[in-house]
Amino acid sequence: MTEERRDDEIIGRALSRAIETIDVNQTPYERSRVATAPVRRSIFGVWQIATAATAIVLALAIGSWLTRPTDGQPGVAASPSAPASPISSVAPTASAVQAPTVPTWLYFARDGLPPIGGFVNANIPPNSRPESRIDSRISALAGFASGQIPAGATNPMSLVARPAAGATQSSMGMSVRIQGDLATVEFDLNPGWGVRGAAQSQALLQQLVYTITEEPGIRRALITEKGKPNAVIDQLVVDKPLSREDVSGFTSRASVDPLQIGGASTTAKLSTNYSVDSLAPGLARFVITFDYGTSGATTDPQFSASLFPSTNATTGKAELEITIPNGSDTTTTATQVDRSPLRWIAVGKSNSSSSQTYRLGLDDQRPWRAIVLSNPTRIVIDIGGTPSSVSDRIAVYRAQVFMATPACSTTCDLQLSGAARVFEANVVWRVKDSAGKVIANGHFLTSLGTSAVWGTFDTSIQLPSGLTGNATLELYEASPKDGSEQGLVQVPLLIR
Amino acid sequence: MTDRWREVYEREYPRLVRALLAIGRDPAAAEDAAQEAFVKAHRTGLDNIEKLPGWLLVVGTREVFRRAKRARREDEVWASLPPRDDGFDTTADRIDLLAALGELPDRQRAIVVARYYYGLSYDEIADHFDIKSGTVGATLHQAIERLRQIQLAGRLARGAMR
Repeated sequence: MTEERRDDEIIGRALSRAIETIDVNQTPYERSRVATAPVRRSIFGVWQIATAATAIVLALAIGSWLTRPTDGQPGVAASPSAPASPISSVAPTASAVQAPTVPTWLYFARDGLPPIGGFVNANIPPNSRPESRIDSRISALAGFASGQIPAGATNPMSLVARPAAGATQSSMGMSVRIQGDLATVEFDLNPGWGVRGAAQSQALLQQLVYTITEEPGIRRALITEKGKPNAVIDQLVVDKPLSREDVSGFTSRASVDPLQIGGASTTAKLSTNYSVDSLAPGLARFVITFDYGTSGATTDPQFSASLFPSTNATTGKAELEITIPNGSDTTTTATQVDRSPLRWIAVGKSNSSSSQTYRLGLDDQRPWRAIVLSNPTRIVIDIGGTPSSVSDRIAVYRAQVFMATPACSTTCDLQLSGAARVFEANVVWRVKDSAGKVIANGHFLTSLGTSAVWGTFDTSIQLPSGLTGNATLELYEASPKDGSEQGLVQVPLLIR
Repeated sequence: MTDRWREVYEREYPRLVRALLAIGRDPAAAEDAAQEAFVKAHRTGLDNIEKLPGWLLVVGTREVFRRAKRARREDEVWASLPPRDDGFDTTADRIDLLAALGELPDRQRAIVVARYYYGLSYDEIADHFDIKSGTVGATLHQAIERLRQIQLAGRLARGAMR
């Protein structure tokens, strides 16, 4: 054997071992199609129907695992499974690239929220270079009309005028350069960006940064205009590389310190459930439910959780890993979720210890929190939420005004729910009218004070009668040192 | 009859799914294609198939590519990721290698898996995948060389991030 051949053998064997470690779902023989296949060829048609029926039964079984409702778990709605087909089957109208359209994950803007991803059909040349893939994704964005993108989203890129024919590099007049994890995208725009106002400019910037950094290995994007070191989108000056976290809109950074929660590590069977957008806009919730069987343990469980940048082998830019000692989940397959910010859920079990590990693939490193609930014991991992309503210590999920009479002429209740970890579990609130004058204030308690895991609240606040129009609810922690406002969040209210 | 199929199924199914997952990168498609391959083998009859493992791999691979053409997603998640506690670098290397495999053209990917994971001979590969036996070696070498480059790039990138 030549030296070269021997080297090839070494890599080949390493690859073989790598393939052998892929965790696969092993359908038992009894449930296999071959076990249920009829022997003779003559009833081929029947066999086809039987196969289809088996597939449907399997799909339903898997689907019901994902969507099964969990009793006594308010707020976790059954999640529809991710759409297998792209949102739109219509190709962008003005694409110049002659390549087959493939379902491609692109980002669109949402008012007051981080961008939302979705699969749309786009012309991405197969086996192309990262630079041209980035170019193709952005060029494709411009062609999608409102009916072709995720519900509730907008497409600021569709407002950007295409340059006249004969543009330099592509249909959007872009040139893309990659250095390490930075992609520099230079636009040659004529007449300009086409967006107006701070909200639209910000939305376009978010959409561009998220879409550019979707390329594996790319974490930062620098957007420039031809012949200039920066870009000016209406009044918004962009002059440095931006990561997804720089533009997502959250005021606090996600905690990257590993969370270690001590507690009972009683043997338990685990099952999971997730929801996206159902509890609060932009919020993904992952729930791990403990079944202690006959031991009937009720104490808080032991677990650890940490957030880290994802490897390039998976989609998404961040992974949140949750490990539970002595837990075991019979599920062995990964779930492709693909609903921003949750991309996928992987289930892993280590051979060397009896712990169970879950990994959540995420769009970005946005603020997240862990909550422990009882009866049954559950670990709840909440990711994101509405940026203005989320800080490093308070997260408001829902604020709804209930009026006994129109316009709060008699009494008016504000129902509030969310999570917090503040000093002595005491959240301070105030409501300001449209002129910024404080018209009501008070405080309420959450289920837990300052701790690594968050407490929850579900409370009702009485608003003064006669309040109408726009108002703002503000919540904060009063600093134990000097009473200053910490972790302020704001929730807009409309009373009419 | 049934017992024979059960035995074949239990022996061959897991590695077939793994191979098809490595080739097609879509867990659902890999499972589906593996099931399909078994049904086709069943219809053909065990006695009419000379070397069953290779036969299943080829039929499954064709099925994976057929499905992939229908609905090709840009990036797919691998099945459950392996646990990280046996040393981050080894796992990272493995993931790199699998990711690098994913960068190869369809045909090269299938041949690499057939050779190194299934251990098929050059002649068997030539026979099954309908290519000249003289070009198998060259194609394999080219594919491995490319894997090596991609993997090295990944390793350097990881080193730079630390």
